[in-house]
Amino acid sequence: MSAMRVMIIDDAALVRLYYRDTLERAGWHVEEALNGLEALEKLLRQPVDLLIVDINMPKMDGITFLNTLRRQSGPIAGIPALIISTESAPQDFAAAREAGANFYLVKPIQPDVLLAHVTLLCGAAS
Amino acid sequence: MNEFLEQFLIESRELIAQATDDLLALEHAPKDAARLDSAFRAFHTLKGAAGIMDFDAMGLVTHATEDVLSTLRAGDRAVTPKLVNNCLACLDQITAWLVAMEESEALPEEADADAAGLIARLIPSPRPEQPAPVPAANPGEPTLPAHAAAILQEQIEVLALPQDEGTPGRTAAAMRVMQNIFTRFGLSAPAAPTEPATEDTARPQRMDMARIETLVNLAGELIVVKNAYGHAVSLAPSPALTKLQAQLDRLTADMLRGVLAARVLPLRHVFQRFPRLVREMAASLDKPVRLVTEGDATEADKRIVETLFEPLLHVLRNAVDHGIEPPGQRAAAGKPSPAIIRLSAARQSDEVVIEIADDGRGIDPAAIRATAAKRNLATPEALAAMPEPELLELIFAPGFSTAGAVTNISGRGVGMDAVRAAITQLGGRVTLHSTLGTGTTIRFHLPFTIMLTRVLTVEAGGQAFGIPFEAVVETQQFNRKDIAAFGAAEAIIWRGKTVPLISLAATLNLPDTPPAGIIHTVIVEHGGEWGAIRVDRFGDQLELMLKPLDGLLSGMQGIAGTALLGDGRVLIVLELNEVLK
Repeated sequence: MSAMRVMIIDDAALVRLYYRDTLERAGWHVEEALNGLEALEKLLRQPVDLLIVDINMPKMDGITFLNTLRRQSGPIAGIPALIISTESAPQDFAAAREAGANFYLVKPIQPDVLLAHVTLLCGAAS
Repeated sequence: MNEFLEQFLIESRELIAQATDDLLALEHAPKDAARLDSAFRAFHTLKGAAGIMDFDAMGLVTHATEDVLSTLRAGDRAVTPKLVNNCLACLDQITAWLVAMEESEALPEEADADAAGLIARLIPSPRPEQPAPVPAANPGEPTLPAHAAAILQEQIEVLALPQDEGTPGRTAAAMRVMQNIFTRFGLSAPAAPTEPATEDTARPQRMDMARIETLVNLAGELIVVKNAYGHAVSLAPSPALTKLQAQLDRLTADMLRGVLAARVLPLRHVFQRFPRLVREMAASLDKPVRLVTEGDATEADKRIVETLFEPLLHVLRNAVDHGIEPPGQRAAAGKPSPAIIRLSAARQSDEVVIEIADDGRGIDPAAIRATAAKRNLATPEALAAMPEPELLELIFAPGFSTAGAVTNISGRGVGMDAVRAAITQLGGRVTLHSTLGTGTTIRFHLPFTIMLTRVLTVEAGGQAFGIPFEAVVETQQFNRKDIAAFGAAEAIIWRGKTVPLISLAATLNLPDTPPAGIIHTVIVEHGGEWGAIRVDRFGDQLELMLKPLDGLLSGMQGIAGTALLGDGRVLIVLELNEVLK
């Protein structure tokens, strides 16, 4: 079975490195994007199995990105998405859910927690 | 509740059940070294658990019991009923403490004094040593981890969001996540039939029931969302939405099957209460009786397991009171003492079969005939001609009792009809076999899980009702002129058959507006009775998880249960028995 593909969408290089390191050690194939716009462009060329999305990003934030993604036609609209953000207010959770997030974790996040959630959220298109 | 305390309570209760079982077995087989070891280990582990929780009173009591059991192991002392009673009293006290801890998360003040009293009974001079430290208890192995349950729950929230252009994408993503979790935890596969496990292979099951119960409720709500989604799709059909709907249908069905298969308990939870109850019943009647339980690791739906106590208690009471002969009669018949009542369970494909078999006097057909005649259940001629199996069935008739005299143990006005009603309500059936002089066997055949009910929704008197689909023959419209009057009653001719016309609104004492032209009816057949139920309009067909009535509605006639609808309304599902009367 080919490795599952995850795209990390976060503007902070250190965060991307941390996730990438954790996930690659566990056998995942990792893609990166610095903001929502770049993620959309990359996804239209090559879909992945799971998105890890930050909320506060330049050019296109995570909520706008998810809203746009879920309204696409074709299979990329249904890629599961995990929000990992420092925002922890109930209205942030609600906004993420309405935009199309499948789960929400609050930073900082331990490697084992990240892996446990990524493993369950990642779903190949049927 | 704190996680340590929760685990402590679960584990302690399992150990108490084990120790109780072992002690009762030892009473009958004092030389059973394996049982003695098992009881010793159970007390030892209880002591360790008490140590971890800084629960001194329980530590001292278990320590003293352990001491007593070790003198038995060394052969310095013999097992006596008094000794067993004292050890059981300790377990009762610990059980009471656990209840107190669960309720208030603290120990009752008098715990130390109670402990001292128990220890004084056990051993004349207690040695108040500190309990020895033991290794930490094994943590439980939940079948569905908390984060998986949380993720599933979130997907259900996502599916319940109001519709907008993002809905197809969100639904697809949520379903991919759910599918993945089902696959990983094997939830979509129906539970494999298990061999009836013996006590030796039975592993303690420490699933977090509250968590699973949450999932079952969420699955029920998901079905509601699914139904609402189906309705929305029918308003604006599109190939993509229809495809998603089919997927959603399949997934929700899989999910419900999966979570219901997880919501199982071993029958031990109810079986373990009986050895002591039977012991006490038998003692009060001066009948030496031994209850043997088998297959108590067999699993069934939690709701079934929890509902079984009363019916089983009733059948066991009957067995001890009426089935088992007084010791003199048994001896005269050359039967062994103690009498044996066997309570066993086994999984047979989709059924769980529970059997209560006694080696008592059996049921005398002549006595049934006499009682049935006295109660006017049938004419003497009919009774004389009645074949034996049919005669035995009369025991399940309301108000039947063959007891010559009312005793404290049975004869409290609850008959076998109540037992049959309880088992039928769970979707099961009861059978009875009896051989005069040899004994009686009663079997409960129960479904492994609680099933979905398919209903046709209708409106009458401004309210929505559900009619169980299995009773619906067809929906039919008639003209006013098709109605024939028979005195005050009305009927319609349907396929050459005269079927009584019943206004649902009038039956339920709701405002009834007799229609001017076309009337809408649901033709139903239930228990051999036919009816054309007049309603205001037909609704959708739905699959529901029926909730039994509780609170104010419980005991209301004509209602089988309720279910929540997609728009938040409560749907009342009808019990056709009553409507057709």
